[in-house]
Amino acid sequence: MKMRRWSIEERSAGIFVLALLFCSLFCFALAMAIGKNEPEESAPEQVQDKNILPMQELPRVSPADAAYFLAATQDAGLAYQNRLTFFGESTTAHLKSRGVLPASQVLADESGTKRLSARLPFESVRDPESGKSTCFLEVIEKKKPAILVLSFGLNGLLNYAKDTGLFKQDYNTLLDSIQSASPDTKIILQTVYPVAKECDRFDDPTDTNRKIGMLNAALPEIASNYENVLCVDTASVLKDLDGSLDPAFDQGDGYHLTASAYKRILQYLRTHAWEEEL
Amino acid sequence: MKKALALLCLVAASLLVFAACKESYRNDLTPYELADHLETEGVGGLLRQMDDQVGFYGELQIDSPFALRLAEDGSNLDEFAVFSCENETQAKALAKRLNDYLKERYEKDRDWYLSYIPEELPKLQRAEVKTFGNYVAYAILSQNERNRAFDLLHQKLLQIKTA
Repeated sequence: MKMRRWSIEERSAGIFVLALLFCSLFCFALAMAIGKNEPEESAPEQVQDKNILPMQELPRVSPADAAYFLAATQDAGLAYQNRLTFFGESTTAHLKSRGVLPASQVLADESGTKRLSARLPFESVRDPESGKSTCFLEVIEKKKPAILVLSFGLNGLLNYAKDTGLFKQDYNTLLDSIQSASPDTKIILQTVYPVAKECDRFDDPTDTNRKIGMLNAALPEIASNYENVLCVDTASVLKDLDGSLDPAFDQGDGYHLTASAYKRILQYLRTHAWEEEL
Repeated sequence: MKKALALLCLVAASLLVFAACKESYRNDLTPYELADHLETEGVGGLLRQMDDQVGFYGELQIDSPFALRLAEDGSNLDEFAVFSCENETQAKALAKRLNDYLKERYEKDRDWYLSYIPEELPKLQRAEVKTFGNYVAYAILSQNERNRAFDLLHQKLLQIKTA
């Protein structure tokens, strides 16, 4: 069978399509070549201070709870940090023993730990001025701290996870007593710190972190019942991608923290400062 | 036969004499004096006074004056308290509530104390409550100290009346 000869118009159209196809292929090949030869994106420039690691993206708080969390601010600096007084469990007492903060800013006793309970306000701490063992409430009444940063929840976690009402009740007891002793003190409730994937103290760290999440979810409600009480999500800067304690901050037992962890915590507190006039 | 009868009469008379004596406790001392007495005698080591701090007991309602002494620091659990009630019936009722409170406290705090002062936990586990007439006392102390504390209170408060 003899093929029909193309007309001039048909030949022109065919040439045009072929040219278009050729150009597309050429452009595609060019784009691929450029992509291969481009140098890889460089790592973010490291922050000059070797003790401060780059900040991770922070988790979002629900809109209802956001009102009770301190929002991000400019770094309020050492002047703000020096007005903070800390009281809490062993992970708070270590702010002093790790040499991160002076004894005058950390209320603790020889045991190096505390636990929320009805008795806590009456337990002893070392008076920062006299060095004597004194009732915690007496110290608060005398010192009248500008801002008191509290950290509780890991000690007693198993009981509190079974009954978060008990957690709220015990925290309320502490807050009531602090506000009676020093009504103008601003109180910040820190979220409970996470534990590492391998933790000496807890058989199932994943479940432990889930329980910690339950207590942290209760903090905004606790704060909502008081004037001068807000929350801060300090725990967020200690977490790995899966919500466990970042190994870089693990002192070795899965729940106590390194000095660099405390510096991150303080940085977070400075960058989520309570900005009202004190 | 006569000797046996005489011996029997003597025993009976002795029993009658003892029955006529009644052991009872004073009620004229304050709980603070009693606690001071224990401290003076060295019960419990270094202690802080938290007398009449009702908030310490949380939801346990305490209507009686009391002296509460705690270890000076958190590295040991030494603690005792003396309560003064209006009568023995109230004292016994308070003793029961304190007993329940101490058991609950042990259950709540057991794991925590195990994590940092396990050697102290038996003191709380074996905490004891006793009544001495109108007074109630509890002790979270070592066994020897606990027995000594209660003996001291018993001796201090004891009065023997004859009928």
